[in-house]
Amino acid sequence: MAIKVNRRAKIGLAVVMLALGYVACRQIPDGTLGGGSGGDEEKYADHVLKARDAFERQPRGIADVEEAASHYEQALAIRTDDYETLWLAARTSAWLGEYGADKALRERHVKQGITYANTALKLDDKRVEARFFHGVLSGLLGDLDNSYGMDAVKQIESRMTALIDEGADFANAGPQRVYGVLLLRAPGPPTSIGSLRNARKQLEAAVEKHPDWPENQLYLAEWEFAWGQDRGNPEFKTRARERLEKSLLGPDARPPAGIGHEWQVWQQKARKLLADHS
Amino acid sequence: MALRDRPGGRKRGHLATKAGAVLVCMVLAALWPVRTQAQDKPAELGLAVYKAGEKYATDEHATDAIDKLAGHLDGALKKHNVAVKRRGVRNDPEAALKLFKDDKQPVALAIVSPAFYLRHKEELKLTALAEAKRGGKDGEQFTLVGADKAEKYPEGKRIATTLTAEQDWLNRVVLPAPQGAKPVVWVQHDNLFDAAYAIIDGEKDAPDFVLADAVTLEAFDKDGDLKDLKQGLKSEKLPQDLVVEVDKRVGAARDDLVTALTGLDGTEGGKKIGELIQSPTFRKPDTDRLEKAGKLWQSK
Repeated sequence: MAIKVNRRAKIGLAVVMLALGYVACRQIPDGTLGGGSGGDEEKYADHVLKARDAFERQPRGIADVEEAASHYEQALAIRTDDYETLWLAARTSAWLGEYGADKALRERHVKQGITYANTALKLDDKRVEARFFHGVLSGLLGDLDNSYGMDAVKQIESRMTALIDEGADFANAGPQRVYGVLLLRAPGPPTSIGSLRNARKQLEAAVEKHPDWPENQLYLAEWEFAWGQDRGNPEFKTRARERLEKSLLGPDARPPAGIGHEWQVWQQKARKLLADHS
Repeated sequence: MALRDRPGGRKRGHLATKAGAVLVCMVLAALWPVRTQAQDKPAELGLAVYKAGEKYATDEHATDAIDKLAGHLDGALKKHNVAVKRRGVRNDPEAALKLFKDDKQPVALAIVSPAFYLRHKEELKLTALAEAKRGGKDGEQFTLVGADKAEKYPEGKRIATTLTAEQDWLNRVVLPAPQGAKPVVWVQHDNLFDAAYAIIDGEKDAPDFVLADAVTLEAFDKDGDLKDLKQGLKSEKLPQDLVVEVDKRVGAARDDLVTALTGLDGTEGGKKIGELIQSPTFRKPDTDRLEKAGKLWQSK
């Protein structure tokens, strides 16, 4: 069964602090779901529809997404051969991995999401969605457990650069945003691959492609603060403040349609950036 | 477990028996810590780490990795009844020195830069036990990289490095100036990629050269934008970070500690630790190399 979905997944995806001074070594899990195509087809379809409905509720909150995750889990206990359901489940897990409240639960969702993405990739390793979310979930796992940091960097770099090279436009310039944040926050050599100059290219490209997506503006502002500090140039800090005011904090700033909890999180991050650079 | 919680405890409860049992428990409880301390409590071996020029070599960021290394060494030294405990991770030499001087939390072993070792070996009674092999490499060699090839000492030029906190090391050992030459100017750059990009992008305040360690040089070679930069003057082959013992505090566990470090890649667990700290294993210090660096260090 294939379900039509909005491919421009409107969820907020940030990638996270990775690759510390001493980066770590565990491999991102490569397990897949067992099972196959047997089971109660009607029940499967019901769970998938309920999962989609819960995820698409507007404005979306944590409880809605947890409900979606529960339905996807039940659906995938019945069938594991439907790429669409698998990547949507991985997306749901990524959302909870980023915005969930409890660290242990977030890690559980992220690991589950990686299993979903791995299973989807086993079915079709050319499709954009599963490759993208595999990279995102790897990054989230690296953030939650630093011992996965080094492999997470490799996974994000390889997944996102391949998608960028192919010209894939997904999740509001997701590949550029995710790769850009990695380059922005990771240390440089000999420890890792971070570079403010390379981060700029990706984050500006994300804003150029989707200027109305607040997350793109948020991370470009973070870059502007970092660059301004590194180069001792206050002009970039001014730009960052104006960007945050216009896109996230000012009276005219509005969340994109359907965005609820994410908007509050982005605003919190924007306020923290302003406070850190006041 | 309290007496009344024991299965059947309440039913047997004669008052005198209970009182006797409580007394016995109190006596045992009072004796237990003493016995444990005297016989079982392992002696602490404080572990400090000083990683020069690495922004993220701090307690905030590196705790997990260093705790895992400490745990690994603990396992290897079990028979000596010692416990390796992280004292702190620092990237600033003054802050690192404070760790060594804290008598309440004594440091028994440490990973330090060769410059820190040479500067403080007498004062802190440091003995080099092992040497890191970052990226699997034996020794460290720095290379000047720039738009033009540095054939000779680049008098007066600006050189990007992460190591300005150790300028004596840079000037005396890594790139000693010939007699009468105008010294180079060391410029702190936390990110050597960005320092090199500044050169190729022609940025206004770009350095003239980047001082690249061997691992960074490999990263430059793999980068499409940087591979055309020219490699020039190279330093001598120098020591890498050293594992040092402070004032003979490792004691009888010393040989097993060295064995654990030099055999780090001999087990799956050790391999993971090696990846974690980016030194797959350690070697016994190359004494010739260390002495040679020491002689340069003594020069003014």
